[in-house]
Amino acid sequence: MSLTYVPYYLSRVIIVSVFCFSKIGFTLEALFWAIFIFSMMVFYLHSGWFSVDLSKPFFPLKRDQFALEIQRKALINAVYVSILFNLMLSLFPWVTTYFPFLDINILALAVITYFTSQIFHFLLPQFNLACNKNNLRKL
Amino acid sequence: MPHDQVSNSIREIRRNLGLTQAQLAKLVGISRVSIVAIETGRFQPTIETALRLSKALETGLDELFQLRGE
Repeated sequence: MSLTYVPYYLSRVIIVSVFCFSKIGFTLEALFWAIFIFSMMVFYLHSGWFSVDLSKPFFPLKRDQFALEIQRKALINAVYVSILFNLMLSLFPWVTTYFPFLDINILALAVITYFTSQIFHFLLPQFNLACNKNNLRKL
Repeated sequence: MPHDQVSNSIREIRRNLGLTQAQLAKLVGISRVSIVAIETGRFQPTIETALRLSKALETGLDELFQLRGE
């Protein structure tokens, strides 16, 4: 393991641990969420989605123009989904009776939409590239 | 959103120079996935990024980017 990223890893372990254990308590569930969130942070660092600026060891991830554009789209999607979901619940409040899984916090829905949308947009160019390579192989 | 009016030769020139996407990304100061997006035409770089690409690939802008149909 390269020592270059140690400040990033250590700071994130501390932040995630403090957040999860203070919020959920010293349980296996808290440990699970701490590991999950930390894994996502490590994934973000090595995904190639962000440029890495090693002159700032605690905040090395830098969004370039493409990443900022994706962030903008993800935020818009999150806002739209939240508004539509809220509107649906106002118009048809009975849906949660028949579909209990829809009885979720709107803020949580927005956060999930934001991250899902972001991951989708980051993966899209790579998926296109894979498709193009397959097409070229067929020719 | 794909920009159908502009194409580029970045991938060919990069391969001719023996550079990987990650190496080019590091030279230009952007992420690897941005290079993928630019090469596939999903994303149009700013003038600043285009100039950095031109410098890293030692190629003129007019060779890197072309208007379709020209």
